[in-house]
Amino acid sequence: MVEVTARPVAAEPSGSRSRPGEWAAHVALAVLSAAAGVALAPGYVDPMLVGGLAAGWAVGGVLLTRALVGHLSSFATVVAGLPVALAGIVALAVWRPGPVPDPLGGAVDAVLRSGARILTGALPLPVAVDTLALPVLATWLSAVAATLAWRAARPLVAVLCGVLPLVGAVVLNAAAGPPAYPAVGLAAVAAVALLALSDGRGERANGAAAVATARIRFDTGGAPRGGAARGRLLAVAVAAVAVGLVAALGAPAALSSWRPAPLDPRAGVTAPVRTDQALNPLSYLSTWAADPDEPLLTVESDRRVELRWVALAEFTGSTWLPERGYQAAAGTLAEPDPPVPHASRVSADIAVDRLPGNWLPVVGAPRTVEGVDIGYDAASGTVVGIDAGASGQRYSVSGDVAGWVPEELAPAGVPGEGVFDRYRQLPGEVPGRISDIAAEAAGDGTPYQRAVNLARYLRHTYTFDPAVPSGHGYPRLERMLVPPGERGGGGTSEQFASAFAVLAREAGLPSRVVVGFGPGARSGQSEFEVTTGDAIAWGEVYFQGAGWVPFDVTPGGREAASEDDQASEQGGSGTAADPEDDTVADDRRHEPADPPGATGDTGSTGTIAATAGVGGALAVVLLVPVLRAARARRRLSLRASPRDRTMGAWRELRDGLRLAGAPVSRTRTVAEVVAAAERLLPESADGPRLGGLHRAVNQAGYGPAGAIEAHPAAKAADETRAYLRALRASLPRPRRLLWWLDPRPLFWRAS
Amino acid sequence: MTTPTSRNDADGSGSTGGAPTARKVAASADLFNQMASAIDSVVLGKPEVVRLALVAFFAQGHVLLEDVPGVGKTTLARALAACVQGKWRRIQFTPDLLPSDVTGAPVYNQSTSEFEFRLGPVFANVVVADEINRASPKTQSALLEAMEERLVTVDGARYALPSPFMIVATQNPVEMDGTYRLPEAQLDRFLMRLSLGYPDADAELAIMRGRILFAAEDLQPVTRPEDVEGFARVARTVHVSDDVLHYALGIAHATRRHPELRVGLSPRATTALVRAAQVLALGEERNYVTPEDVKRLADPVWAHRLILTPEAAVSGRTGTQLLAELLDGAAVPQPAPVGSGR
Repeated sequence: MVEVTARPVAAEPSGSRSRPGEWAAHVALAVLSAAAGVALAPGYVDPMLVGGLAAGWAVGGVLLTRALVGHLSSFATVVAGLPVALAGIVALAVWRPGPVPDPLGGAVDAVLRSGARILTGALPLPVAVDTLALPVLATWLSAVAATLAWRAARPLVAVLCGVLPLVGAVVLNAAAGPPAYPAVGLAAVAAVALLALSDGRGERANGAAAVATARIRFDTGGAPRGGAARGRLLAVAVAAVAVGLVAALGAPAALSSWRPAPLDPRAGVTAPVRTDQALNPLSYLSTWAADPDEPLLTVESDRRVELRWVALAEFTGSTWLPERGYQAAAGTLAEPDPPVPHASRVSADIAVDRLPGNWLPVVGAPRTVEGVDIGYDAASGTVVGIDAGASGQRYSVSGDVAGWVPEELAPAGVPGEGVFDRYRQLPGEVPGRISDIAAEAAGDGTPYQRAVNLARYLRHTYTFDPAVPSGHGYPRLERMLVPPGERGGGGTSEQFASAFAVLAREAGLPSRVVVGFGPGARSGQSEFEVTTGDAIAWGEVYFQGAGWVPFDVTPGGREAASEDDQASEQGGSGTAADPEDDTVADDRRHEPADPPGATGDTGSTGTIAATAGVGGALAVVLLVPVLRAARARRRLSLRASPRDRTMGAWRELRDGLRLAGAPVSRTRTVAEVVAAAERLLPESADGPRLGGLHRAVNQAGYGPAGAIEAHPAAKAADETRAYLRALRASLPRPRRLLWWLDPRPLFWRAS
Repeated sequence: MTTPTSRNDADGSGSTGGAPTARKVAASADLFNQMASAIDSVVLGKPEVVRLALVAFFAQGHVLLEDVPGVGKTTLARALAACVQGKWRRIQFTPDLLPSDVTGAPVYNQSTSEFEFRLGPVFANVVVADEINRASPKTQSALLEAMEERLVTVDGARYALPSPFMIVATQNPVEMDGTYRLPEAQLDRFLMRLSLGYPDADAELAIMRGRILFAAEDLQPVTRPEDVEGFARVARTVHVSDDVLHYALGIAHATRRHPELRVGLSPRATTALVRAAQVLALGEERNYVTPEDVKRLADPVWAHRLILTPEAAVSGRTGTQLLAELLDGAAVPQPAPVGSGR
């Protein structure tokens, strides 16, 4: 078949728009597509870089699509753009390699696993190809789809293409940083600009956009064309800036007092980095206490630092269990929430000689860990090495070490009922003696006062005994916690820490056990050697606004411990005055790594997600007929000019034929299309005829510029309606049912 | 009988400015349809060919009717002639026909002792040239000049032909013995080549039963020569959008590059099509040309102007086939009203 070069057959939908308007629209498309990246950026180590990358990809997608769309079909444009996007991923893999060093393999790995990496990585995420592939590809696709929709004269669909990824990004990153007002503001500005530039007819959005559109139409109504274009552009700019200001400034102000903690989707994900469950750091303490001189690790730092190793929050009745799931993390870790009070940044180089498991000792609330691939559990502040035990590792770590001020803590409360219950759970039947002691020793007072009382009681009533064998369950605690006045009752920090945490829980305080190391003995200029004797466990209690506060509960076993009996916990001076650690938004009841008994939580998250997914899908499905019907109404609307109404009827007919499985070739004239359409229906004398449409379309499409009359346009619209009704009725039942549900017509080109 | 187009002449002759007004369009279409139905009553069952012939008539072009004997070629030509209140002549072409038999010749007038020019049969409004391919090339070329120039030159003197002037030539494509094929240049001067084909069964039965209402000679003239000129003037102002022009041009370009064609369509061919399309549009009461008009007229106006390569001709391809293929593959400009992209 010979190709015939007839001129660009359909007038470009944009043909009637002014050039500056067209450019402005494309800028708006790029901004809209980049908004999702901007919303996601705070979750990364380098937000500026990520935002810039998203913007670059959005611009690239828009420009490439704009260049291709005149020459290729929509589908071909999407396909033709993909190699460019994938080449970009490979380039990204060269520049910022992920776990797979080979660029091609890295790119493939990134495309396949990016989503999982983002969900399971600890915040902030590293800027690497495997955490960027999904956002940049989504940005690209959104830019391409939005541009295509825009070129196909579907401004609402274009806006939707940008808003959907933005919603995804906002939901994904809800817990990562401050609310994404700037991104939403950008998107709102772009959306308003797009809707306004789309010449407003028909596609009315609700809310501010509609108002802005209406105003612009009013402003420019009746102006001569050239001036109108400039005037409209100005009005669009003003409206866009106004909406942007409202979205970016007004919304934060209005919503500042309303602070429900957002649900972090990461909470619903099982953290992928695991530790050996057979190991329990707490049970090493008694062994180590009996043989206190074995070197464990060397710390190089300009000051004495105490190290945190593992936090154990789940008590089974016979043992405390460490967290089991950790998220792969970048070298930079998120700031704890609430922030560490009176924090000072301390850094140290640590060389582990020999430690069981893969938990890595860190300083305070860790902020950076370099030299080793790590997993991180933000709730417990525990760091683990990925794919490697701790022994033999060398790494640098820095962290925020708290300076506790008892006066500040004194009035602090504990989280209310229902929050942090995980840290108040005591399984099974609590032995009566423990309940009695908890009630008696804690006494009355503020939560902080009661915690101090408990610590003081333990320190003063019992003795440190390194000979006591390992064990920290109820039986062992019962044996240790002899009634006051009786002699006996001793143990290592293992038993004391466990006893404190259990007693605190019995007293209603959220608590946990932490294992760590003292500063060790100076062995060089700035080198400290930590031995088995430095290992120690302590208890921590969570106070509202302060976070986890450590309490030293072991009597005398350590020098410098509890000199001042006034508060056993303390600041920089002494003992396990450790950094407490970070924590946790209120909703952290849904912990990663839930205890085995608590899977219901994850289940309910899953159910919520599934419900939301099904609901969202249902909403989209229901949205299609609404949009379709609205468009059909708009196209055939009496309010449209006769010309537009005629062309609207023509497009409805073409879409209808395509939907009925008889698409219209571009080589067919109006007469041929109409004839083919009439042949589609079963023969019937009084069947719907399309003669009026035929004539009106020809006149509107090829006639002189003069107005076409209202009457022929109305006839064309009526004929089209009647015909499409008859066509639907003639279809087999499944097709008829799907007629209004099919979303494809929304994306078909208008020509 | 009203003479709508003459009335239109009075109000500004429409050849300047925009498309013709609705009133002019309606009057012209009325005239066109009157003639069409008059001829339809004589040439049964061939409304499309009748209308195309009328289009050529109003476009002031010439028609070549090519078909086997006995399908009504001459009837159509005579009916067309009879509808116009003017002179019509018929020339039966034979091998021994001389140019002067067509154009006329100077004759010695004994009474005045001078040569006078005696007008030949070509001096008429409608000339039916029967079996044009039987005349010698010399005679054919005499007709050629008359067709193109609308002038006859004899002995250095020029004589203008009447207006409207139309030649309806017939030829028999089957019987080739003793004929002279029309040269390409002459073919190009026919606005249309039409073929009647056999009538359908109903029409043929009616013909057999002798139920034809009128013989061609019985037709009453429907129009006057001035009306035809007025119609033509209005037709020249019918709106042709750029999209439609580009569409026609695209097809013409494709014929020039087509591997099976030795010669594609000339600019004369493309202008002829536009002229015919304007008349057709007006005849259908439109003041604008659509791509449908182009499609409909492409074969009658263009097919006879295409010259196939010898290989294509030997393998039985025809200009009609090639054009149909080209039209089938050419994207039609989609109606998209100016000023409203969405």
